[in-house]
Amino acid sequence: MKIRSPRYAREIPQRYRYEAAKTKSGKIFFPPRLVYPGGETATKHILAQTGKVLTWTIQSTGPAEYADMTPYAMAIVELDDGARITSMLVDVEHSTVKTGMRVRIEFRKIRSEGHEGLLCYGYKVVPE
Amino acid sequence: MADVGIVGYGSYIPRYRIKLESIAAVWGADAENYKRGLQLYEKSVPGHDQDTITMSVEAARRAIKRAGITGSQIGAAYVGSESHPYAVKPTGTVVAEALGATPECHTADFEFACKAGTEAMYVCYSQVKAGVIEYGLGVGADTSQGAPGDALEYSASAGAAAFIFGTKNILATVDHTYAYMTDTPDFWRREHQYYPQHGGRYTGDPAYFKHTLGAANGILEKSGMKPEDFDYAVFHQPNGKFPMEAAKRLGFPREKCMTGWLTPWLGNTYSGASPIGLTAILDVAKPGDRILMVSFGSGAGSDAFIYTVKEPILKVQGIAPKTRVQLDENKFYLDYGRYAKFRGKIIRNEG
Amino acid sequence: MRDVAVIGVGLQKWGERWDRSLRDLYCEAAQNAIDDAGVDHIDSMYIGCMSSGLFAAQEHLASLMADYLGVTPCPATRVESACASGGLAMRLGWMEIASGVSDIVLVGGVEKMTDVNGDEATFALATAADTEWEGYQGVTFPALYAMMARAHMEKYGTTIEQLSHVSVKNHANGALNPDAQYPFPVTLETVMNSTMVSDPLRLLHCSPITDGGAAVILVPAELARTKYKKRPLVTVIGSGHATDTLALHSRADFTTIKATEVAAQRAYKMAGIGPKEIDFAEVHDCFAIAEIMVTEALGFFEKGNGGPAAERGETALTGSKPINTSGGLKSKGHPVGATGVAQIIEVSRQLWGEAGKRQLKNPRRGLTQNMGGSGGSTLIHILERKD
Repeated sequence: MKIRSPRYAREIPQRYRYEAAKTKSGKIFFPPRLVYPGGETATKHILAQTGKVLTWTIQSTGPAEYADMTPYAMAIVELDDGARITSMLVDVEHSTVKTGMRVRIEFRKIRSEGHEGLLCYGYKVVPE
Repeated sequence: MADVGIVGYGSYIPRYRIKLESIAAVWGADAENYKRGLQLYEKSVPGHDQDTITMSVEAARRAIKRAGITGSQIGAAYVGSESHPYAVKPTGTVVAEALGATPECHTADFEFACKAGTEAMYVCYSQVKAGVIEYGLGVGADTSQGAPGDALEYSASAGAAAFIFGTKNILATVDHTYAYMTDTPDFWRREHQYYPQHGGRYTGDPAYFKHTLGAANGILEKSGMKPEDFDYAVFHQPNGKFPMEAAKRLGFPREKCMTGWLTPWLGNTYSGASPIGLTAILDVAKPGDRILMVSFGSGAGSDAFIYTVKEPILKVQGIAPKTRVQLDENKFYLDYGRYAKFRGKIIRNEG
Repeated sequence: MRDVAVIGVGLQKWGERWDRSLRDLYCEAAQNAIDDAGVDHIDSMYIGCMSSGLFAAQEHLASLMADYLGVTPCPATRVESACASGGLAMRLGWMEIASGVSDIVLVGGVEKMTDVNGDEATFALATAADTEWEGYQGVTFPALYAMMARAHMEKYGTTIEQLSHVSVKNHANGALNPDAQYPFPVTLETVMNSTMVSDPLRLLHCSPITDGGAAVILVPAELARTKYKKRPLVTVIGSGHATDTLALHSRADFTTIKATEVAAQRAYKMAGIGPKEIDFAEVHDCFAIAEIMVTEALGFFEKGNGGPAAERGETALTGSKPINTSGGLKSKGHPVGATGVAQIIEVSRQLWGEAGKRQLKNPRRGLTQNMGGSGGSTLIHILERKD
């Protein structure tokens, strides 16, 4: 299903600038929410842009829009502020991917909506 | 009037490379001949997920880091490229948005073959000098295309350089600027065409050398300076040979050009070429050093700049990735098949 | 609350059913269940279906299925909880009878997955993950479970051989199930050499794309005792339902399926029993690692012992805790919306003594565990034969 402009534009602060929210008790929510557990309030927080791999896989296959990238590494990353993201891990020899490896966020093209549609950008991680 | 200059700079070079031999092998060409003729050994290749926008963002983030400012302080964001990812929809808005410069920011995409990067810098500098903005971002970036089998395919590469211009904590003052242009049909790409066309040997003397030397001589005359007044010179570098030939004709010794001479290992990054060369110089320059920079864009024209390096540069050279390190370390070599896939030269079904 | 009994079941041969549409699959299973139960009407019906919209461009299944089953104006409800949609339909059907609102309820599930191509099916399934923060990044379901598998392997020393034993065992069981999509045995070597899908998971660690429907008829236990008594009385003695974060990365521990733990505790509490009192179970082995993690979450094995238990044969038909006697999702197939209902069918058949060649020896209590996404939802039911 193609990503259309309204949906894409709505997430730009998170995809481009990593805008998250931090509650009074110190928990980070990415993306920010309208409602927080326990009725807490939260303020804007920018995610740390370095972290470590918690778990990972090498995907031999991917959704159609990602097929040109296969095989690719996918990881769950804990950023240095404790927030977690799921992200493609690129610019890496797959044989060197390890749990615990240090990574940093880079701005990348995530997908193209065919030859005519939007170019969709966002975050991926690369070895630090 | 207060000095205006570069207050932050950054470069971005993708990690993928292809050697000339790998390209020559596909077309049955003589790699040694190309290496000798172009003085070029390998070139950078953008990953499948990299384009002018992504490289501009990364280079600009490094520039912001060195400038010690926030994205919101940037009053103008100009990106020069001949490979803007959209035909219609600005590169600059995406870059400015990613940097947090929006909404109070002026933006424009520049296009002038390989000169678009220095155009962005030129206009940015002028805006700051005019007092319209406090900080401006000028970027030169390209994921250049050369037609398969064409001589350009051996050199067309990818990279970006970003510069923040301002009046405080200047790393290098802009002392003089000069522009030189004529209507010269040496190289072009029509709308809806994938690859550029060029005039072969006509791209040399009547185009590259006429404008590069014209701008260089013009700025030397305007400033009253001579080659011996400079510590570094960087010229547009479509291949390894042309910039060194230009230096020779101008009377610049080869050693003053070596630091910014990246094309033999980087390839021709088009709008990024002389700007990335400048970042390599700034990475190692000392306070007081003088730099001459001359770009060239087909069509054709050259922008020339004279910079003087200032004390604050010593504090920021090491806080973001240096250009030569990106060029020399952590390289992934591609074979032609993967290169063709990365560059979208292989047509697949959409589903 | 009234006790609820299962009195009839229906499905069809699962697989790539080029000859059957979405409505055919549901109505065929539903009519088989109605005939099997011997009821002359239904008071209400449920349709568990994950994504008829994306798989078949058809929503409003409640009316479509009531219409094609010929039971309009019977109340009908379509429910969705990704791959746990069937289990959720079961819980709602059970609640409707337990509460006294209806007496005869048809609980069905269906998924028609082969009217789209592989890319489209992958996309539809991926919507069970967080589309914006997982799917957008390029993650697929095999990848999410592969990341859980890696975490489990690194934390507990679970091995790829142990994962592969789960597939071998489920195929061995499925070979005895004529309704299974892939009713043949596979060797450990075949599993371990199958195509890599998402390291460390290979093709034969993954459940397939399947067309299928499944349906059961539920009535109050009292009605089963007095009117529908051709079979031993099998009633629902526990039902548990729980959710967890949609995105895997939001969970504290990738090696635990917390929604299953919590849903199990709720079901055990209602039943007044613990995992030791469960004779066998049908669990959601969408991937081999899932069966290992689920058998741990259900309390059948200590954390980290799910893999070794599978390797030792404890979960085989002849083991101490047979798991997925039907062949599981791996061999029987996984038409996502139908899976949870088919689990109820297998447990009922085992408890009735109608499981054919894979019949366990006189089982008394069986458990079903049906899971959505990477563990964002779980439905558990415990069925007991009342002698």
